Amino acid sequence: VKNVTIDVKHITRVEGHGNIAVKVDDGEITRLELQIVESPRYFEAFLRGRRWYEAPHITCRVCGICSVGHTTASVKAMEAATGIEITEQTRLLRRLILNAEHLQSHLLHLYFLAVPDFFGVGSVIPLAATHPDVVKRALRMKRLANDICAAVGGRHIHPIALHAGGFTHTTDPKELVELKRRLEASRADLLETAELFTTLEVPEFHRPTEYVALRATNGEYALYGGGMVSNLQPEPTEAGAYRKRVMETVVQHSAAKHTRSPYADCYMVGALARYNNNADRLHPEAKKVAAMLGLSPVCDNPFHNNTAQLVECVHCNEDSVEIIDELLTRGLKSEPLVEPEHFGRGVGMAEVPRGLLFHEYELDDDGIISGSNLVIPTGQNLANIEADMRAMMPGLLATGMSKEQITHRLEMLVRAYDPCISCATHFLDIEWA
Amino acid sequence: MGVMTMIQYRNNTNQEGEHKDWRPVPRGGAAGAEPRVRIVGCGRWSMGDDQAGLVAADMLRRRCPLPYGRGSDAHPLPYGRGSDADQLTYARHAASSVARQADLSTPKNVEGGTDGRVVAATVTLSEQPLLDLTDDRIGPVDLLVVIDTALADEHHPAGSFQRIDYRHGARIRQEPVGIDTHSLGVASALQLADNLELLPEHVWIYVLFGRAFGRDLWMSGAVEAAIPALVELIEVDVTKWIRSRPCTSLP
Repeated sequence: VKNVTIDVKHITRVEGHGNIAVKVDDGEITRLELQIVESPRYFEAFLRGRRWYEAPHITCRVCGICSVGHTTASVKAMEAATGIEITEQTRLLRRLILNAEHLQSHLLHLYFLAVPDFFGVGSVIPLAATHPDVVKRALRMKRLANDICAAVGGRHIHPIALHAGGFTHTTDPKELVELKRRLEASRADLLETAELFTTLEVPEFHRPTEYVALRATNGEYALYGGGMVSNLQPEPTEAGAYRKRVMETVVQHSAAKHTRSPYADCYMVGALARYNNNADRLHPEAKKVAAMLGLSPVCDNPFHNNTAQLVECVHCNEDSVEIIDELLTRGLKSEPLVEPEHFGRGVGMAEVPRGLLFHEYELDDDGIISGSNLVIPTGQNLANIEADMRAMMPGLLATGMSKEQITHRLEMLVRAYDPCISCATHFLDIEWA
Repeated sequence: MGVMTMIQYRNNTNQEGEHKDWRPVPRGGAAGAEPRVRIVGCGRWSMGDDQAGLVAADMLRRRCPLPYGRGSDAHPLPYGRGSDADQLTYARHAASSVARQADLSTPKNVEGGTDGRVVAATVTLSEQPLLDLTDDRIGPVDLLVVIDTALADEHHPAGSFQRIDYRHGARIRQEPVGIDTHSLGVASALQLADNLELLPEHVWIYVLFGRAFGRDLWMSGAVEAAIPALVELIEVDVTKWIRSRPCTSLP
């Protein structure tokens, strides 16, 4: 194939609206863009003037899938800006609800958005007719994850009990006991999921990539805390210095900014990046599943982001059981919210399902937000997706694939990143009169 | 959750008047048992008219006397509205009931022009219809009632409502095949549940039309005013349906 024009308007089975535009003239790629056409969101602009404690509840509305992740990054940033030190119970509960969000989001992506590709159907709805057990299993696991979010955060989505300084709701120990029972029962579902994924053929494509993620100093598989590392730079960068590590740029064809690092023109965040930087920290059961699926670090095939998500599901399931045990052993007690010591600048980092998320706030002397910056995982991945597509195209053209097959493969690549385009589109900086 | 896309009619009956496009699925309701009814109110709190399905289901859950609309304000809904300070209080109250199952199996006489009829149902307030409508832990039911909102148009003004039979007549337009998860609303959830053979034969959707689906703590006046009548209609319809069943104990 010498000349190809691909123009996918609204890639399906991703969050939000994005297009793929590729033009190949006489065997040469003359245009290759992942166009982000979703409207900007303006969250950073309308946070200005709001009170410090409102930010988590406003920013959790950035996304219905990652609402716990946004709340987590937001409360961490606000605590850094106000000198609040949280209790160990709060930290455990936040880790538990973040695990649950990873579970529900990964399962949604794997079963509802990615798996239909491998079964050759357009969506999960026809899959339900042909493979009802597969879909029922997915729904069962997702329901459990959502129920954990509700038990800890007060709602299935957009948690209302998470605040800077702690929780306004004490989780009922009886609910935790029941959730632990369901998590233990869910092991069989996860194993069946892993067995299903061993039967799926993952496209072979490799490109050396910088993988950026958190890595904790306390031995945890870093989702909640840690410093920012990569396979190219293992020395951790702390939250307050993130702007030296994450460089945002505006590109004409995207309503979301692109990012680069001091060590590469583009980089990847997300489950595969976390796995590549933290595989040694996984729960033993998750390590077994990684081995079963043939995953080993450093894996530079982005299609294996799906595999890494599944491995993380097993880890989060087991880690949640252990957190619940610890909470029950310690005994849950009602704790007042910790009050701020001062008002200043703060940055919060958290690993959310699609990768590393940053929230930064500047507060005035009265605790009013005077500036904010949100750097979203999908925005960080966009340049890397384009680089992958650019590297993949010659191979696709050489295999004699049809235009439709090439288009499908490019869409699969985009979907493998599990992008949340709606979250990422926010770059316009409005100075309100 | 979400605004349903309304409405196009389909011809799904053959010349003999038989319905031809729904498959026989395992139905609930063992012989001799009281018909089982499940009511699922769908929507999103704090999203203006979108929460109408939740509010209507909540009224049914609390049973009568209705909080308002019958000359009584003795049982106001617990949801705050308006002031900033009320917002978190409101949300916490809402959270305590979201998607919790309320078992209304104890028969209850309903006052206020309903002739002492008895309505027993399991009510769910759902912000996540995909999971709640496919929840196989609920057990089989004989009648599923879904309450949701749709965008008003020239034929369906804000505050009007309509019952749709999921299997006959007007239908909810389905999303395109290649869906994203933002499109996984009530229509997809029902289709998914149907494909998983989790829907009973009788599925009614009560659609309340609204116009204000933005971020707002409360509904528009037209939609709020319509809810008591919608609840009344649901009670009447469900009661008639139960009475029409051969095994009912209803008078």
